[in-house]
Amino acid sequence: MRFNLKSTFFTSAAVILSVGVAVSLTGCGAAGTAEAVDAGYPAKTVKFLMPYAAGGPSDVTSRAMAQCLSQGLGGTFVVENQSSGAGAVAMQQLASAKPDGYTVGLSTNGPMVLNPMFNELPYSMDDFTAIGTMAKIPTMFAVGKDSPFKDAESLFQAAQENPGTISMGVPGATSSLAIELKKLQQDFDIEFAVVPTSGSAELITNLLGGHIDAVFINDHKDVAAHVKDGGFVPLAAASQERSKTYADLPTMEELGYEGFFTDSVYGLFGPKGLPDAIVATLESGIEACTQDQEVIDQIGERFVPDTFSNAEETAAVFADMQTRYEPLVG
Amino acid sequence: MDTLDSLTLGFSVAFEPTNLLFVLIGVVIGTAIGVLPGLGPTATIALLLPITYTMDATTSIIMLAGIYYGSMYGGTITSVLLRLPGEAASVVTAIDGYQMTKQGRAGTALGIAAIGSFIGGTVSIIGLTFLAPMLANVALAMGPAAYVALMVLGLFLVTSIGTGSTIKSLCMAGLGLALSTVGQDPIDGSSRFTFGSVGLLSGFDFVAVAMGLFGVGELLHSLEKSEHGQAIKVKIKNIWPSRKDMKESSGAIARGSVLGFFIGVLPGGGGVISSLASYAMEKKRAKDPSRFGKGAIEGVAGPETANNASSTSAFIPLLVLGIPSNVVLALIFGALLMHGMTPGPQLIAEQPNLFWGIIASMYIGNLMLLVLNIPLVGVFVQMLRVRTGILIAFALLIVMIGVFSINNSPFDMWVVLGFGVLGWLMNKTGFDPGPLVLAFVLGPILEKSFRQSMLISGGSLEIFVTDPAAALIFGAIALGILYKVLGTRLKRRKKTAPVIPAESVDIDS
Repeated sequence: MRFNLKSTFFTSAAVILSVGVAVSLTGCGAAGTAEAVDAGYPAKTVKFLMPYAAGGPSDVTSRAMAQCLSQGLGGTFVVENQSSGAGAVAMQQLASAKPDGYTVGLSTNGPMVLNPMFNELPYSMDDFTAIGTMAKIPTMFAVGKDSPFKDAESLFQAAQENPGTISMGVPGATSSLAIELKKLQQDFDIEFAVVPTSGSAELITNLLGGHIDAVFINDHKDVAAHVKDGGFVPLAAASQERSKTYADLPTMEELGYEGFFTDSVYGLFGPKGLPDAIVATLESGIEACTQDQEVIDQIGERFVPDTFSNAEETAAVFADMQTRYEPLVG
Repeated sequence: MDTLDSLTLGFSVAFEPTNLLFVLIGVVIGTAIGVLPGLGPTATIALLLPITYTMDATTSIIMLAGIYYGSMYGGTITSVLLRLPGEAASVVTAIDGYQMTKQGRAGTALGIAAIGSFIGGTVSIIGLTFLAPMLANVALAMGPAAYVALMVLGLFLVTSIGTGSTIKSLCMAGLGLALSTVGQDPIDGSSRFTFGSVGLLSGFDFVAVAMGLFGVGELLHSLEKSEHGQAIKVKIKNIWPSRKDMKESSGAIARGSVLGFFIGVLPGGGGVISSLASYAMEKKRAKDPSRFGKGAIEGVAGPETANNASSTSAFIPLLVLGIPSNVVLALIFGALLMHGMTPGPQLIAEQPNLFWGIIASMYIGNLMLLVLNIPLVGVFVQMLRVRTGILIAFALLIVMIGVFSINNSPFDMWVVLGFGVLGWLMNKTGFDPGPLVLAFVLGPILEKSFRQSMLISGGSLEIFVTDPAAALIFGAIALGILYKVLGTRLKRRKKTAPVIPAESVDIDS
């Protein structure tokens, strides 16, 4: 490791300063009022709302993007985590923000589409303007290394023949993975004992410990580490295309489960009525960032889509989720 | 041995000037945010994450780890001086620590907490150094069924957390369990008792509840008293605990170290549960449990040792398996991801400098904290000389900022105030917040694990016997009950006169 006196002191000073500043800033999180600035956007701090707690893959995405957008567009994009109410608090704040481009936010299927279906919330998908897709986390089915199931067919067949005896862990009750699995069970007459958990960490613990038979999980870096180590045996990819990392792994559609796919799509959204000019600025900003090597390295190469999904395409993806899942919930 | 070679490598990393500097920065920040009530390591680390991206990976994790275990030291101070938990894991310290302050023994309480924290932290690092891979498997062996067993064991401790009557303790535990059901159902996602409030969807925040019941409740209580009535005589002389104090606490510190170490390894365990468990255990073991709640030094030494031990061992599942066992570790996980490293089974082999560097830095950090904290005790005790009105107003302000910082949620500020009023009323009516808080922590884990177990087993209770870890814990519970029942019978037979049954009811219920 290099020891650079100057930069060390600079960083340590920055750390100390920022604790002080951040501590004092937490008290005044509310965004100031804004005159509609079309020309010089962004002319001041942009609040980047995050409906999840800090630390996870969505947080890494937000922070990498916020930093890149700050450099690319000027202005400062500040990530604000608000995981209260399963993300509903952040979404509600975004929905009711002034559509001036100074409040944007990451969202995924959960807080945007599913949470309003499960709960009575004061917002729905129509209260937002889609801007673009920042990252996409694929999903997969996996079993432990000592599992009797060597391929996806035998797992699903077993679940069909002995309904409710094979346990399948999913990240959360209202995650898109849980709903997609529900759809699979309905469409193909399969019945797992579905076990909702509080997220990937708990799923990994339970599969490695042999407490559940299989998992349906976001195929992120944490899972990849266990696949590499041999603790996890992936059986099927649940995206529309095959995974770049596991080229031999069949997709669910290839296995004959027509229409079965789900990804965790990290979209950027603003409130309804965001002016087209601002949408266009942010859209091209994200597009540039998805090609920025530093951002790609931080988020992970395979999670940043090669082809950028713009505002219109992102909106379509979320609208599709709405129509897919509406009949399954409630 | 390999481990010693690796540790030497670790120390060579940790002793690099940059890393030494950042251990120091980490533990200083940790102590500071630990002192400020409500402001915990989670919010601080979240705020600092962006800065760590520009730093070397090892250096940044060394600093973040320092903040985490440093905050466990700092959290004690306001708990003891103001009955205001500086940090969630110090909630239980407020019970006896504050009583000690009232008796003029604030310095002793803080001194023993610092010593205990140091010992607990160090024992845990030694455990982390030599037992990490083995213990990671213990974490894996604990499935939903085993968590049910563990939570049931925890609920047996509820009555020993309380200082008042058993009935009142049980009422409060029931209330705690009831309150923990507010929010989204963990299994089917529907909302419960939220009455249309979006803020309640994720339930009441633990820190806001604990801070309200203990801290704000006590602040309101002291406002009632006149300035003269509550002048606390503080003898700053006896900072260093006397030989008698050390003797009384040594057992608690030893048990707290081991208990905290093991609880920290369990995903979902962490500081709060380890300190609650240690407190309950000390009270159960004590020859005269009635001293607890009246300034028993073991009630400070045990929990403070345990929360430090657990904050260190919590790194085991993260660094060995890539499983973050609590929110703070999840943040550190995120920091590693941003540096292009994935914590997982290969981390030790692929990044020995990182792994051993972090471990070695913890030895150094703990030593720094001890050196830092002992002289600071005298400074902090002076805080009690501030006029009550000013002190309370300032404390309340910090609490509000701290609680807001947890989720950036104004709603939580109402929660802390609401529970503050409840805490004040409970204080007036002789109800204890301890059992409520314990039940509130255990309730959600018990519910989720039990329902998960039932889903896995298809509704059969057999899973609690067939799951080895669950069977072990339930067996231990059964033995404990049997021992108590037989023990009381024997006692009764020895003494022909009827023994006061209150004590046995307290333990068996």
